Amino acid sequence: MIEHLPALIPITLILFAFIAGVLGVMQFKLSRNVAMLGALAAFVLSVTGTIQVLQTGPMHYSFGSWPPPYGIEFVLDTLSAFMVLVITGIGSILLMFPTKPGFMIDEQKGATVYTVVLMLMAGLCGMVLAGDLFNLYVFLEISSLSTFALISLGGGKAAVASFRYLIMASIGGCFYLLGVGFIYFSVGSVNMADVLQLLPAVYDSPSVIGGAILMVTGLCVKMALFPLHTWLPDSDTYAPPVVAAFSAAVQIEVSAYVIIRLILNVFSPEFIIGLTPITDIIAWISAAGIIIASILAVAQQNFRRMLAYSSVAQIAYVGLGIGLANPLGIVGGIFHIMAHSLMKGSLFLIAGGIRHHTGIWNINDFQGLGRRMPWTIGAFTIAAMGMIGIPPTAGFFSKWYLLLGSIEGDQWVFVAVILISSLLNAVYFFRIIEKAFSPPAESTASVNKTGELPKRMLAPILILAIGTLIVGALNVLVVNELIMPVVEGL
Amino acid sequence: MSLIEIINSIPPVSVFFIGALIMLFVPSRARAITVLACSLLVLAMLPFLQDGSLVKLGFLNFELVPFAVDRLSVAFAYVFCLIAFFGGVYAFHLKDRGQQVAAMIYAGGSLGAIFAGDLFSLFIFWEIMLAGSAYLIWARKTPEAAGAGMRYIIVHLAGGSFLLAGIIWHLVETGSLEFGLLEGAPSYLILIGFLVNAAVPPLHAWLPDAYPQSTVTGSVFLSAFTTKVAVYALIRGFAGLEILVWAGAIMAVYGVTYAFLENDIRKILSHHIVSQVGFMVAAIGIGSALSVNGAVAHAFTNILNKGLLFMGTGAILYSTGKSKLNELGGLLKQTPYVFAFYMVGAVSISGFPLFCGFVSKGMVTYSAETAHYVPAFLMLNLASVGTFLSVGLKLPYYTWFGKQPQAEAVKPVPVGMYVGMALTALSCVVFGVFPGLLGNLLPYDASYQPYTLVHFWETLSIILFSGLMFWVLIGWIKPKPGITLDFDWFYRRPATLAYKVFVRFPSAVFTSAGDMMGATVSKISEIAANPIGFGIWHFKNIFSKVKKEPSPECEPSEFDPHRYRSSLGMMVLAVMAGFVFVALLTWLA
Amino acid sequence: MKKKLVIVGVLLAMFVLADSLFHLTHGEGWWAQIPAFFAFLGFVGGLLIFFLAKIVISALLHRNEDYYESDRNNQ
Repeated sequence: MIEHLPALIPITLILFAFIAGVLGVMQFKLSRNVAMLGALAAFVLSVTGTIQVLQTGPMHYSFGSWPPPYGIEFVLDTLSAFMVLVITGIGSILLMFPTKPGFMIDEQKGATVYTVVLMLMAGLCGMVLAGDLFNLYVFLEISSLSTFALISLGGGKAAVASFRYLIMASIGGCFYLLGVGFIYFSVGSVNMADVLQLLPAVYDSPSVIGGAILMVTGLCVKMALFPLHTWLPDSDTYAPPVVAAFSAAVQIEVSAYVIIRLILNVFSPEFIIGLTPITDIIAWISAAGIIIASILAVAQQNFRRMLAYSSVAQIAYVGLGIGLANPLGIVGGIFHIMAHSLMKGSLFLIAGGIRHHTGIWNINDFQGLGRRMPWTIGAFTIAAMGMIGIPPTAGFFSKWYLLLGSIEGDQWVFVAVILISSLLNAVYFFRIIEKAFSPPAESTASVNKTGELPKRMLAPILILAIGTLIVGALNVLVVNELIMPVVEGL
Repeated sequence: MSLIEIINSIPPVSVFFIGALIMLFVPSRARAITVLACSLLVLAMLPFLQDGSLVKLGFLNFELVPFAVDRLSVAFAYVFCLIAFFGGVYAFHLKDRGQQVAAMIYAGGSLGAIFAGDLFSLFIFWEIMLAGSAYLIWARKTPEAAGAGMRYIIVHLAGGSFLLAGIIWHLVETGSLEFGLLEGAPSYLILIGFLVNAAVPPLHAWLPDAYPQSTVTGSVFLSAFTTKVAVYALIRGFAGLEILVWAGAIMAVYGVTYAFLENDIRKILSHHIVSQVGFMVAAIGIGSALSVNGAVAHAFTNILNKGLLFMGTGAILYSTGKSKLNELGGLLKQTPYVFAFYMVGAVSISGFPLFCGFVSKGMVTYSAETAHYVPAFLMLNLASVGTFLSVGLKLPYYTWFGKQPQAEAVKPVPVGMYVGMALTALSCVVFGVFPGLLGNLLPYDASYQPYTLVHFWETLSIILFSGLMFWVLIGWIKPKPGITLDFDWFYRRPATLAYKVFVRFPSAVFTSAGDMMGATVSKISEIAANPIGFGIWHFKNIFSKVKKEPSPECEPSEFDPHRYRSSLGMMVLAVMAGFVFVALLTWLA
Repeated sequence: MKKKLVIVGVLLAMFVLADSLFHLTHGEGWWAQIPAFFAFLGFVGGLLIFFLAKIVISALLHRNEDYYESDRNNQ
């Protein structure tokens, strides 16, 4: 059983997806519970897998016992274990959010929603676990397709946003596939470990360099790295809250992970860092993205749009970590993946909950919300502190690693960028907190009747918010056990 | 483990944090009691702390020391617990859970900071203090408080950024996080971080901006902790740095000058904090055992004195709802006890004999004198003059005397406030009459005898003649409504302009870029619906365009899927033709 | 006003006398040579602060209470 773990995780999700779909047609509530069960099962498997990997080292699993490079291989090492934990963990918590506000559908009509959601999670897990480049593409497309469907659930403007996302995601996927094609023609294999061994012989060939650049560019589109981010604000603003949380908090991070995996285990670090300017370009673009996206976030009046631009800025932190190309920087980037998904997840759920409960959508209308929804605003404050980087939240520690990495790399501009962006984050987050804590204005008296969010909405929000504190406190454990081993080679 | 060992392994900050956690769930009376209980508990633990006790924590490759005991830390801890206790009594009537929890977090964070044995732990507690104190400003819930709180947070986050950058740079350069005397380029960044919290001009404007906006009870806590933790940090990291002598002396005079001008009674006290911290900073700069002792002593007495003064003015704000000098006056009959307690604080801070200020001020000025810093010595004494004038004379005169007695009713002051003030006043007197009590807490060995004839004569002269000056010029020293611009002008006035330039403008650029793209795309799709037709129309109308005649409207074309379809037969013919062509070529070649 | 100044003058003279007779001001700097130095410091210092505050700083920097109001409304 244990040796099947790398495959079991996505397979469980796919299995439960179908069960949920079938049951959903009969009884909708069943499908929701089944979906939650499935996500939880996958999470348990991820935890088991992580423990196994920590004890015995990376696990390779070949489907159907076809040996690589002929067969499809799944690899579970500490980094993919880390990512799978994030995906299934955050996924299970997000699925706890009630269906109607979370997915903006009537329950009777939405029988297959949970199927699609679980397929999305399966696709993401598959991306993370895939041991060869083409399989990764397959799962990438699975997750993208699911996302198109889910985003459009949000109604009118969401359909347009979904279309935009479709175009951009297809472009990104195509670039990636083209790059894989180049690599295949140069080396003759798509298996990651194989490519790692065979590539050094053909390092200088333009097709390999071109392939690498194409793949990374395609992934940057999917990662919403500035300036290829334009699809994210629209999809995150209009999509249903849980979908936006998945998209902004989990999906773009997985794309960033793929870039990291490519650097570390496919094209070896010597190649990417030494022979191509890829990491330098990514670093500078990310730095620009952090500042510009934060500035744009300050300018927003719509709460969801502000969170979307904030996501662009935050994923640029991960990009900066990648671009720094030294151990501490990459550690910071990877850790930020977990930190950001917790914080953004809870923020999007809060946005969805507030919108559903009170109809409030614009920041100006947040006045006095602190009195009526103390727990919600409390969770918001914790998440905001994490985004700004105040200890002891997880967000602070990722900033700490990034700063250490920047100083070690003598990149003082990046140090300034990180610190200035914290201040910008403070401006747009504390603006909301300040409004929430000030007394309610008379003009919004009509909305004063509603009180705190219902417990079913609060539960996942609070779990995610407290998660940022816990992960922050445990950051040493996470970093030392899960992330450092992968980065040691640098 | 023996009791002493147990006590030595529990950082006091954890007591306060656990108290804060408890306070989230218990009713208001219990909350108020928790504050008192926690401060008394820690106060009881302090005498058992042994120098050199450590609690270590592994982090990455570093060994953090979140709790390290030495005499410097313990001295500050004593007075922090005292003021937490007195403040807790003062705030006993408070029902606002948020404020009480925030105050506990703030006090706990301060205790954590002074016991931090390494720079990283210091930074963590520094930021935790920011969270607690910011809430105390916002808790007043006025629009001014909201704005002041935002500015407070931004300034302190900026200072914290300098601190963090400096710490990390220091770490990279020296490989250690030890908190001792700091040198080198990274230490300047750390110094800036410390100076922001210590409110050294020109980085001080946040203090008179934010403290008067905070709540009645909150300001007692605010005045006690942030600046004094910064003083502690300066002692540990930068004692003997000569520029601090000048900074402190200038600060002392700067503060009293503004204090003399201000109209809001709590703003007067806030500017005065800057002045008093100036004494401490100058003493740190001098760097001798006596002067550092003096800095610690002055921090100690100042926390008590200032706390009492804020308690008094807070009571006035509470009962009359006003805090501006030109609106107050004649309150003696209605608030006699507040006046009495306030005056205890006022004379103590001015350095009257038998009060604690006499002891600590004497130490600082004497150490300046013996170290031959003559200009600093004179400026510090000048600041004492200003202290008495602004805080000891002008403020109480126009608050309690001056005008006709107020016709409006005055809200009665809660008993807790009176008890708190009384306890603090008592401590001011006790430490004044028994200077040895304070002396035993001081970290370094340097003896000082405050009650000498010389000191007494000097103090008497200064106080009497500054009082006489006030009496002579009383007609000219009237409260005037309005504000005096300070360094915060630099980030407040340009703020709107900066917002327009840095936020609105890029946002507008990006929005118009998006609009342009949208327009281009719709034009392209318009053309694509009927490209040939579009081209022909343009060609036909080219002459009319040249002659600048209006050309007929381009036939609105909708996308017709059948327009450019070729028939199946045509396709087959084309394929066959191509095949034949390729075959011919191959056969011929 | 004149009466007050006379009183101050008399007191000052008394202090100077007492100081010279009993050598009450100690210290090493140039200021210690002046009898009743601290009395002068108190009075003249007070004048100095008054001057600095009211005449110099207040004249240049005094503004209305709502000086920053307009900024807040814009933000």
